[in-house]
Amino acid sequence: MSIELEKILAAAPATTRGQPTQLSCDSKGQRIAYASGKSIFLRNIDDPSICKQYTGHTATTTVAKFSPSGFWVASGDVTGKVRVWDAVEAVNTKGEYAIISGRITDIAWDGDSQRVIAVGDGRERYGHCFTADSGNSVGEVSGHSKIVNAVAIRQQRPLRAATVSDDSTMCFLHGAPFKFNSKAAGLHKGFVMGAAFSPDGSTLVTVGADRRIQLYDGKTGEPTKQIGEGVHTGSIFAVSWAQDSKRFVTASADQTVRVWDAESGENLHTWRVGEEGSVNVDDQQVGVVWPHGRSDGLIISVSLSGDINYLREGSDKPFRVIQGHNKTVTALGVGSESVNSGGPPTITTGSFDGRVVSWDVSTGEGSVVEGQSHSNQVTHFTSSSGQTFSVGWDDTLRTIQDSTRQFLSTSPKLPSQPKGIATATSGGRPFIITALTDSLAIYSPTGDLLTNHPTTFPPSSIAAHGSLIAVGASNAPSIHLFTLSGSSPTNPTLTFSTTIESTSPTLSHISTLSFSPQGTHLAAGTASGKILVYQGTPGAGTWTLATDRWSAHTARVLDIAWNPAGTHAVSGGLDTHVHVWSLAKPGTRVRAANAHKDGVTGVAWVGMKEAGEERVVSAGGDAAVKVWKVSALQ
Amino acid sequence: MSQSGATVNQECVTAYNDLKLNKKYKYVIFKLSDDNKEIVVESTSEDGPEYDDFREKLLNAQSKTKTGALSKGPRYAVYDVQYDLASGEGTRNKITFIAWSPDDAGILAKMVYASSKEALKRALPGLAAEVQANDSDDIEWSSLVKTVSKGTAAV
Repeated sequence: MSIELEKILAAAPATTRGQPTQLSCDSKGQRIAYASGKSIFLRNIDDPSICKQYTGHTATTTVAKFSPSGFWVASGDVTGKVRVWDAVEAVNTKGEYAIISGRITDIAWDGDSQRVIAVGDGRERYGHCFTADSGNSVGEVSGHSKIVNAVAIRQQRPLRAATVSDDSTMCFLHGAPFKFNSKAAGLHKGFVMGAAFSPDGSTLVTVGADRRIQLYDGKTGEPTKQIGEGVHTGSIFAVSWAQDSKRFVTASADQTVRVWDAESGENLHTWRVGEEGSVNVDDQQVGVVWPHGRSDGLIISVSLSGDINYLREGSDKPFRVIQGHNKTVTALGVGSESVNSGGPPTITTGSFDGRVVSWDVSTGEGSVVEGQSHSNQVTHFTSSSGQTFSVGWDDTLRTIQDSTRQFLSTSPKLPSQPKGIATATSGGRPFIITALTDSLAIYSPTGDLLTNHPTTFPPSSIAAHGSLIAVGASNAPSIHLFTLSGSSPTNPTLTFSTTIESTSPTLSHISTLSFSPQGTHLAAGTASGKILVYQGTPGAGTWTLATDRWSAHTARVLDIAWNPAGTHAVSGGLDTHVHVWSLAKPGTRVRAANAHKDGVTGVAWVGMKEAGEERVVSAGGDAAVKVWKVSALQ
Repeated sequence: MSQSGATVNQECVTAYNDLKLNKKYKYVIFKLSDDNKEIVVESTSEDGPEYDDFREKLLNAQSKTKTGALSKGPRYAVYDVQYDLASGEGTRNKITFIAWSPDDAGILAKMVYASSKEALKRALPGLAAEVQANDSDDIEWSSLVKTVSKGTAAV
């Protein structure tokens, strides 16, 4: 058996309200780089499912910038460290440099791809200039009294650099070595958010929270003129030049992205993101990049929600929006059609902020499920005949219509915090069962609470097959089995059938449960990392241990999913690994090590089978979804 | 390091030499005698040549506690691990010393086995690798090969 990464459906850029989000594009206009979680993602612009993930940072990342040569990326994190690494494979790190004591906000490369200036929120200093290959000092950032928000380096000689700060000034540096030369104060009246030199080096532009766009001479740093006064009606967060050095683009909190003519100061084009006539904070534009080296005039901007907007002149709306999660993914569910009948492989993921995204695994495209979503982390999904049900920490049960990818307006309030959700059938009717802190609540598919069955133990997880329901206990390694009966659509009865107790004294409590599609096997993951598989016949009450050899996880098992044939299973855990197991040969197992930084929270087996290769998807703490190719099953 | 006073029975060395020089055995499992005074041969690959037999023997190993009751027990084992290199440059054999000490074995037994290990290892010259196994997963074939080959084995 072998497991191999096929594609990464990357996380969306991390955004913070009131702060710019840095985007970077390589010199050929093929890939963009951005920070999300503790990773940096390098994504192909035309096919975003072609992606590399850099996981060298140990803290939350803030910025990533391609070198002009395209061979390196410099990225910074909240602890003030900058790492320089190869842009091709995103594996080999050239160096790690501790620059300042606080968050890095921006990084700039010089035209030779040798010198780097990193700025941010430091205590002793607000940034530093150093060489990318050795970290040797090549100057200093000085002259500011508050956090520095952005830095730009002139790509020609004589070397010049500009830093802009919350103290509403722009400092102009002469290099190399970079030294303070002059300061432009009294122009901006608020935080200065962005700075950029034109590609030909003739002009510098700064933008800020006071909505001002200020131009300077690129060689001397003398202010020349202000343009576009009163046009943007919100803070301007970012600015990026076109390759022709005549136009640049700004992104603002007024939900617009505007192209400007630097010479005449004319607003050439405007895109407004979001619905017409309404104000939506999530649609604020916090980052923008104008990729050079492309002929199609593409502009890429980022909304506060993390959506990546592809803009092109000739249309007033983004012609393509790339969506995903930018917080830890906490739940992963598979559409019922896609498991059993080999339909379109769609999966649904929910994240820590309550966002729910529906993915087409074959194309790698994700779209946010519209409507009122959970206001807090999503715990679990289950699906039944064209609908997906979810429970979350806002203690609600919500329903997604699979065909329209929309939340229905009904959202019953749960009696207590949900631990899991499953679909069981009785008399041919589906019932939705949620495991709560001390009971099992049964809902009809329309969202009506039918019964709330108290339990003698605190449930930790739930799985169902047909009328059989397995519930794990969160205080002992025991699984309690129940049967759902009754043919009335409003009055099902839940009967306790048996308890599977483990005899091993070292086993910890059950963390996740999964029935094989045939219902003949029940896999139980424990908090210590062991997976126990029980064998039984649905209907008969006896369950015996099939294998206890699925035990390579070193931390809590968070999710288990079976293949359609019920012969193999995939599991993910807090130890960040994904394992694929075989029932017939429990000794042969394969592992995808370090699949998701900060733990794998969801796994699924999707119905994409070709030439002996099957597909497994996983999601986890890095907010990304990964598709794995599993081959040579035995 | 503190040592228990356990001695190594001559048959251990003989059996090891049969494995190493004569290739008579695939593995040899050693145990401490019930009075914890001597290390003796418990079994060899003559009754069960497969790796799964070896694994089962270790998993089912038992030791006497002080009161005479039986509980899960630690063992020493030598296994002639053979694997193919991932680079395709042929096969390798590593005579591997395995100190099997399951977490749920008796405390006294684990202690005596840990303090007698050096005595046995010194009596067995030419060991290529040593594996400390505490969990059933540590003696899965894939885990063992991975440790012994330091990641160079073909999966």
